[in-house]
Amino acid sequence: MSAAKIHDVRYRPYDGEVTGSSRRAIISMARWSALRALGVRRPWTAKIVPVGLAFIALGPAITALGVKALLGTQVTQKLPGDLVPYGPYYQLIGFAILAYAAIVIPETICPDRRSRVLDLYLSTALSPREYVLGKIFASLTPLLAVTTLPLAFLYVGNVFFATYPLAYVQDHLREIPAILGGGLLIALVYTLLGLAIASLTSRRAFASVGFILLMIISTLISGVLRHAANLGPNSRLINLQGLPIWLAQKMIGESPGIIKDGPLKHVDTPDVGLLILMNAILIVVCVGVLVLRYRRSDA
Amino acid sequence: MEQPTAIEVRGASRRYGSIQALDNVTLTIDAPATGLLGQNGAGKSTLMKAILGLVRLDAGEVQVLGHDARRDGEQVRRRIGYAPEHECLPPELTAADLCRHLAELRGLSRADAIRRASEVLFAVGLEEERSRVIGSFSLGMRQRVKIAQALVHAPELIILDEPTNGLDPAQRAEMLDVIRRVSRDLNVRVLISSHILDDIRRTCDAVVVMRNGAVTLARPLAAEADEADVLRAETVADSAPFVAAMTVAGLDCTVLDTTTTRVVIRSERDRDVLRDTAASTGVGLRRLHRDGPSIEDELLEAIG
Repeated sequence: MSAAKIHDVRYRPYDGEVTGSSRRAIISMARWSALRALGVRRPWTAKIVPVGLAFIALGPAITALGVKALLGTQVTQKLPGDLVPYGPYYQLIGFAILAYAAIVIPETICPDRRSRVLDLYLSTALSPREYVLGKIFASLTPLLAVTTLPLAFLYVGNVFFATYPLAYVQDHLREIPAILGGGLLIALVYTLLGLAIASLTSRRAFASVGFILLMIISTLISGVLRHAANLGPNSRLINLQGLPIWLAQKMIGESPGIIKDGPLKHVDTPDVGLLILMNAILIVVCVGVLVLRYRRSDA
Repeated sequence: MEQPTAIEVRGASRRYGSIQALDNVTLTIDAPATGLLGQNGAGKSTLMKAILGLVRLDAGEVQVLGHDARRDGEQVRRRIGYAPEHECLPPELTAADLCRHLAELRGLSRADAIRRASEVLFAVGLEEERSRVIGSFSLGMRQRVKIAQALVHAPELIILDEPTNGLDPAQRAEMLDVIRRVSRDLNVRVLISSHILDDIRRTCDAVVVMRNGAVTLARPLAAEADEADVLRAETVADSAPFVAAMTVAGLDCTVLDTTTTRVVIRSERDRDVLRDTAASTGVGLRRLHRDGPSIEDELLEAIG
């Protein structure tokens, strides 16, 4: 072993500010967790899923605007409706949203349990509440990019291609808060659901499979109730695959586009009031799971 | 300004089912470096968690830097650093990013966190490796990262849980050197838990020994050198001229038999006198050893 000694430790007592700021701790937790989930500072393979899903979500908007660019406004304005309307847009990107929630959200929370970093975090001044809030923001912000950005991009593109852009904005002013609110609602519900499921395990794969299974099972039960028990559209209230998406669609408006079949086919959905109630119940249940999972075990 | 007492524990008790993890523990820890010694299951980790305010006590209280560890837990944890025993580092982060992140969590601004991360990684000898991901580090390097993250917010006290666990002899020696440097050069008070007596002797100024959740010994280690040391000198020949010469030189001697003498050593000079007198009188020292139990004996008995 070397007999060399370090004499200059280049360590100074810190005399700067150490705040007890909850906001700073939450932002730091959110930022570092989001970067990890998005694959930043990690090998390119870690970036494929989040970036790929974000592009898939943008696909219909790019296609719709591309058709407008190719055919020109003269032709597209004569069409009897929008190529891709705002409301049913979520039906097109539902897969990307759910895949994002199933694959990317567990990445923000599972490794902390698996590598026992959670113990280290909670031995700092970080409280379980701040930890969970940080993780919610870490998951919500990238998911917002998937739920809100494509519609915002489509809206801006439609304004750009409109013959009278200001008139388009005036005619579609109501859509702006609806797009933002609807995107936020979908992102919030799936963030909380994804985190609640991921909080039950330290394995990302288990969390992803659990989320997907929950979606499939709730859809199957909903289908059985609809056809066997003849419950009508209200049977969809237990279909977690569509619960926040249908509410967001109702917020934005369900005007059909020129394509009325396939993924853009109109779906009979439950009443707004019942959808609000079920989404609220889902949020409360998910928050409850998170609170129970992250309360101090010895508190 | 006078520093508050690092840790004061009064009557702390905690039971987990049938196991009494802490049994009416009362102690004060205020040395620059204190060792918490005991076998596995002695209650060291529970005491550390109580100090961090992460364990609710059945009875008693823990004061850390003048604050109640449980009631003011967040304030206490903001002023102390903690390096857990087990693996707790995210393998995909670099050492610098981890230290930065934990500094921000503890309330430092982003700019200060970057600077402090660099400083503490230099202090623990990891400056060259700061941009490598932790997953590629050796166990010894990961232990250093744990110490670095515990220091990053300039705490007044750091708690290291079994920092030499699993290290090979060379890594262990380096780790002990780092710990000693933290308490001596960086002026950060250290509480280190270990079940290895030698680690504590080499790094600490005081020791607390625990057994079955109770404190069986708490004493300074550095004071050992200051206290009078009573030696037993066994000579080959009759020790009378040796004793006479040492008495003339001012040493306190008691003849036990013709070849055995008890000598009180109060300073290094006394030690030199003993050695020189044995040489000049030609009695031939057969054996020179401490009279009574050594500190090792005392500690080993306390550990049980």
